[in-house]
Amino acid sequence: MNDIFQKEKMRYCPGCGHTTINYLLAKVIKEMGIEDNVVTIAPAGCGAYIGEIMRTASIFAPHGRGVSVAAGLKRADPQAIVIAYQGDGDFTGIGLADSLHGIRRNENITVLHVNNNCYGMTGGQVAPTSTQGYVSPTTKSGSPYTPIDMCDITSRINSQSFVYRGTLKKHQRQELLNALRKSLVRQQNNEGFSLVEILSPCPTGWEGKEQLEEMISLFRTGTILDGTCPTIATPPKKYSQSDILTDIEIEFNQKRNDARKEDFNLGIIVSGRGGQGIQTLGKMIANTYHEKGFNVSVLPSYGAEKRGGISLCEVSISSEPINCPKVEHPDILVLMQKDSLYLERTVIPGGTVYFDSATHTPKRKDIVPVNVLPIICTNDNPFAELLKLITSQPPTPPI
Amino acid sequence: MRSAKLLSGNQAAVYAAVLSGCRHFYGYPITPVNTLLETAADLFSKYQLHFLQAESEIIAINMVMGASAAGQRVLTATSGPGLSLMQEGLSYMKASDLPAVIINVMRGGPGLGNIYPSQADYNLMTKANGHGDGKCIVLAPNSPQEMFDLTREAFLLADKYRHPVIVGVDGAIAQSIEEVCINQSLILEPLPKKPWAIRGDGSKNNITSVRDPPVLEEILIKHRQMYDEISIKEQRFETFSVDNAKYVFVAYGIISRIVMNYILHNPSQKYGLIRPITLWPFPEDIISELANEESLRAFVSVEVSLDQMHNDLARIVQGHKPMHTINRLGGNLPSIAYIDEQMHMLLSSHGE
Repeated sequence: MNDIFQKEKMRYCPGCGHTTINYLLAKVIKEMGIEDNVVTIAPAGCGAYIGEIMRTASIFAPHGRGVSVAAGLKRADPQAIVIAYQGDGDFTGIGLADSLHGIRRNENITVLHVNNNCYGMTGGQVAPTSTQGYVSPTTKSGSPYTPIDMCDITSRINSQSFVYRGTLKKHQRQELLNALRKSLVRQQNNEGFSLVEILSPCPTGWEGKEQLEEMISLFRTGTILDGTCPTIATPPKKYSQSDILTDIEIEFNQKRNDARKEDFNLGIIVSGRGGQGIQTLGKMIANTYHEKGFNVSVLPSYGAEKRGGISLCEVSISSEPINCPKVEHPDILVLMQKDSLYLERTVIPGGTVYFDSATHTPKRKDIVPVNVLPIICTNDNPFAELLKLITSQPPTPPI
Repeated sequence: MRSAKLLSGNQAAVYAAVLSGCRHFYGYPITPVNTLLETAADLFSKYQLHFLQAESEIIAINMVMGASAAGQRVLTATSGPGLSLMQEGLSYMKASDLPAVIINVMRGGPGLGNIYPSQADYNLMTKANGHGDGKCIVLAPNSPQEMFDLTREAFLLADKYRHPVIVGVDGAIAQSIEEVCINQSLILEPLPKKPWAIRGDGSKNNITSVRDPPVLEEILIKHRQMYDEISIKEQRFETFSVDNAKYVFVAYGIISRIVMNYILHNPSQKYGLIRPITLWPFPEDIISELANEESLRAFVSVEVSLDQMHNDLARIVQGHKPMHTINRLGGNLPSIAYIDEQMHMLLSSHGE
């Protein structure tokens, strides 16, 4: 066992459950012959040293994030047998969201949850798993809250998972070893999420041995859920890097004409309310000119509302490279709501404002007003008509 | 016929990632980066790559860490509030020498702020990229084409130095749509081998950030040497018209384009522009050089943040030249008229 289990690296307190758990885990790994494939994910807390103690690949994850790091790692290297070794503070406290969502997603990993009812390393403080009344440095009058039962929760949010809770009592030893083995075999067979929780003593953190008995009386032990996972379908075609490049190059090779040689500059602002199609129209204008061979630049801006609020789309068109996507003085202003009226004064003298007469009327005398309400009301596809109208308009002649 | 595609900055970054052999995207929706996520969802699933919309930015950055530890190129993208949540993950990745690319599209802040563009995460990206000692390279695109190019660069730099690299851009450039071309020479470079990676293949590597003082000091000394090397080799910037300039603007992102427009509108004035392309390492050398130029009257930093870049500039200039700032804040962008107004006051303070 010495080739996998470096006893001399252990820093645990006498009587700590981690000592036995590390040994049992090493035993199962050795028996299964998977020490080359195992990756342990070490937690913050006393379990942090698992990476030093077990001679397998390992990574130290931020506090509570074992399941998330495991999920990323497993997706990157499916052949690895990923074991997130976590204390109860890690798995059920700070990492609760990480844990629950990883469980819910049925990540193909194994979590070994070492539950000692407290935050051992920092002095035995109360944890989300602490039994009610647990006295600790931060709950001197006893914890008032009900403890969290992660085995129960896991079984409820993931019916395909394997969930086992055990103790280090000798008469349950074989059952625990079987559960550990099963959780790792499941991972080998891509059968989804497995949780093995062990109620573990913390002689330094606890007041007395009776804490363990209290935990055992409160939390169900044994197999909580032995779910089955449907076979994952074989993924379809795999793309190589050069496949991807070829494919994307085709996407980028759009047919375009050569840009006109003469000086051509046009600034357009499309404005209105969210949901009217302001951004869509702006992009359509840009696409039209891009296909003709011009340089274009589109600058969207909009409020948080999905409908209503302000929506603004600045479109620059030029035969030259465009310095700045902001259009401060447009040749063309499309004004589809009253709240955008303030933009009217930005239009170049001699420019055009396309407006919606149902909401407002332009005030300036030195710009050309075009009412688009008839177009919108009489067309099946008002965008196509508006687009034709706007993109057939030349730049404003200088005064 | 030109081979190019109209893309937003957000979209361009995803194409660059996929073409750089990035196989993992883990992110969380936040305006103004949602289209990046959606493009990633489409493109990554099209090419059988790994995409997950994680349930929080914390989960996202930790999945990034896991995939990176296994030797894969991995991308995430967020905005200020999300980057705040990713701080711990960034710290762990620096400590564990893990590469990753993090795109941060800046919006009005602090707090929830608003979804309009800003540069208010400058300090968060260049200085506060996780607790403890360490730095991240920060690249600053100013166009969709640069979002493509610099995202590609980010993967190369992340792997070269085994550190997370941040691509920091304002919401305006990220959402702006312009032509993007694929630079052929960038692509089809073989992915680097990563013998240090955690894999289930018998290599039995260990990645940790738990270190006793003697070991941690050794590692930090190594990191310092690396940061010194980066500071010398990786400063990137662009200059415009700085020779014999009387006033040199310093601006990046959308602001650099607005300022460029302003300079071109005022051809008789002797204005120049330095555009940092790396925010860390900040282009100190060119700034120090210009600070010694007789003809230069002052530096003018233009940013949409509370003097964050300006403070870096001031540290470099060390009082050798007068310094001015022109700011808009809170999601607002400066207009040409606003810059003009500020410059009038500035010029009169210099007796012009």
